[in-house]
Amino acid sequence: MTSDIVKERLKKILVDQLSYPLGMAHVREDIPLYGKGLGLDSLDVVSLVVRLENEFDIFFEAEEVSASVETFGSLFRAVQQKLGQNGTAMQRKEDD
Amino acid sequence: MLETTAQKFLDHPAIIEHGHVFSYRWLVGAVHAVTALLGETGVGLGTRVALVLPNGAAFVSSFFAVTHMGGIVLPLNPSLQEPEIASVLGDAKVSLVLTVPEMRDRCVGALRSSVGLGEDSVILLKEPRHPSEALEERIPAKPWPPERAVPHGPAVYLYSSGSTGRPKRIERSHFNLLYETDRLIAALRLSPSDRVLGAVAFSHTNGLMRSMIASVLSGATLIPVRHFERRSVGRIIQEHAVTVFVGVPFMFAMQAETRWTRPVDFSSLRLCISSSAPLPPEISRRFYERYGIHVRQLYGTTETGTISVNLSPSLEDSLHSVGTPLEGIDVEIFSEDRHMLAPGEVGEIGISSPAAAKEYPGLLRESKAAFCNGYFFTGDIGRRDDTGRIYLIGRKSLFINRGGYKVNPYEVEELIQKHPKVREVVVVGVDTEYGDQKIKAVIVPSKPCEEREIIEFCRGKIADFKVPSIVEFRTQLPKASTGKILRRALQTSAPG
Repeated sequence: MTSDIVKERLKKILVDQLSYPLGMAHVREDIPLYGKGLGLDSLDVVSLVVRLENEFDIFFEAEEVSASVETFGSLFRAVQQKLGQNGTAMQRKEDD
Repeated sequence: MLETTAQKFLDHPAIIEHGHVFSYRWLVGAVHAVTALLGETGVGLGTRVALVLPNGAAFVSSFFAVTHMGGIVLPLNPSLQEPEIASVLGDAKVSLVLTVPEMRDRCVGALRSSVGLGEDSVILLKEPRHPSEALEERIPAKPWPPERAVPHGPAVYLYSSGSTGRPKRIERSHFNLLYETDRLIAALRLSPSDRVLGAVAFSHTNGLMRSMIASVLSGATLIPVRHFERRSVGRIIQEHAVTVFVGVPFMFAMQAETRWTRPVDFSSLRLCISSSAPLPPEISRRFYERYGIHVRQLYGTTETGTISVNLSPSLEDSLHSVGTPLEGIDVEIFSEDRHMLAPGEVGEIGISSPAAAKEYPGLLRESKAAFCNGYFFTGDIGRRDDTGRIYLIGRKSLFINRGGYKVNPYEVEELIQKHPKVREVVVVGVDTEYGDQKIKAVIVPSKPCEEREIIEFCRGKIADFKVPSIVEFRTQLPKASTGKILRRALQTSAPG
């Protein structure tokens, strides 16, 4: 999966799920996820994480997203990192 | 309320928290300790005591201690901001707050601004990490006082969204709570062999009645969860062999969609109860496909408590109905002019129940509108079938359901209207696929304005779940010829 494809799929998730009214073109690298930009709240983070896991076949804990990921760009890089750690295969975590 | 049950099960686990088991013997001791402390602070018949506590043993002990003394519990969501707490403390004329250290400053500030009381009116409780720990450091000088509760006296204040307008305080008596709990325990067949997951906030009717009180008064084991996190909830269900999961649609949606690194075993679950909002059928189906367990829809209101639950053995029959009324509860469907309708006809749902409140104290006009001829008019639109099953179709209310919490759009509008760049504002809910709604503010600005300004303006003044996540700017709001804003037109439309 190329990084461009990952980026586009990630934008689509955000736009579709969050009813973001301005469309994919406005989901910029530096747009904040919370408050100022896309306006995610804690419930959105939970459902976003579930979507990311199912879309990309990876695993996240919710706090991984909320704690260190603040912009679309950093979310994209977090997803890339998860994909890169184990290709596109399921990432095993001893979390449950 | 607690003593009768506890005496039968003294060595049985009452609460599991932080990996430790707290028996009913411990719980009785904790209630006694808090009761004695409350007695020393002057709590007695009719004293209003706010609990600003997360789900846990401290909340449970405090609740039963205050009600034992004849006081009135006002449970408040710990995520509320100081102005919100102050508003409620003032309306309810609270004279004491029980809270945890991290909420102290907010509570002290709220008490001071609302009722002019100081930090002496705030008691800090610890969340016990081990059965050997006490909830409070001070050792009461006197033994704990005898029960003062009066059966038909007020036990709890809750705030209701109602059909329209602002949240209204309702008062439920000891009898109301016990009647509802008794019917619920019977309908759900709760017993000491059950382990009840308390994932919904105890400050909310759903969490308070259907997990906390129902668990404790049935002799079951309560496993309180402070914050819902899907993987840790999954671990808890397995580790503690949870049998009853009381939640809101969002929780079941997340569990239905979560991928696990290894197979999960939810076979201990015998009951999943969803309430506070309609459960989308696709979520129910998906959950059943994943885990082989039906999610049961339960219907209730703050004013009446639990009304019905769908315990149908058939998945399809459980998808669209909220079930049949609990024993002793009468449900009728009413026309606009409040005549009873026949099965199959659609109208407003009215409830007659011994567990119901009788009025909104101090609000004569609102009480007359909502409580009429022995029925409480819910603001829900629905119908009954020939077998008595209830189907919800919609709501008259404008209140927004955000993850199980009811958000009053007027409250958010009032706040945003204070922003210097806002000329007009309307707040509406936008449906999500999880059965709840996102909060959208539609604004006619007086000067150039950005979304982030509005969102930042709201943060810190209202609880996070009330802050709009969508902000839309328009040159004018859609209105009817009467001037009334057409809210429904704003719920899905694009900016214009």
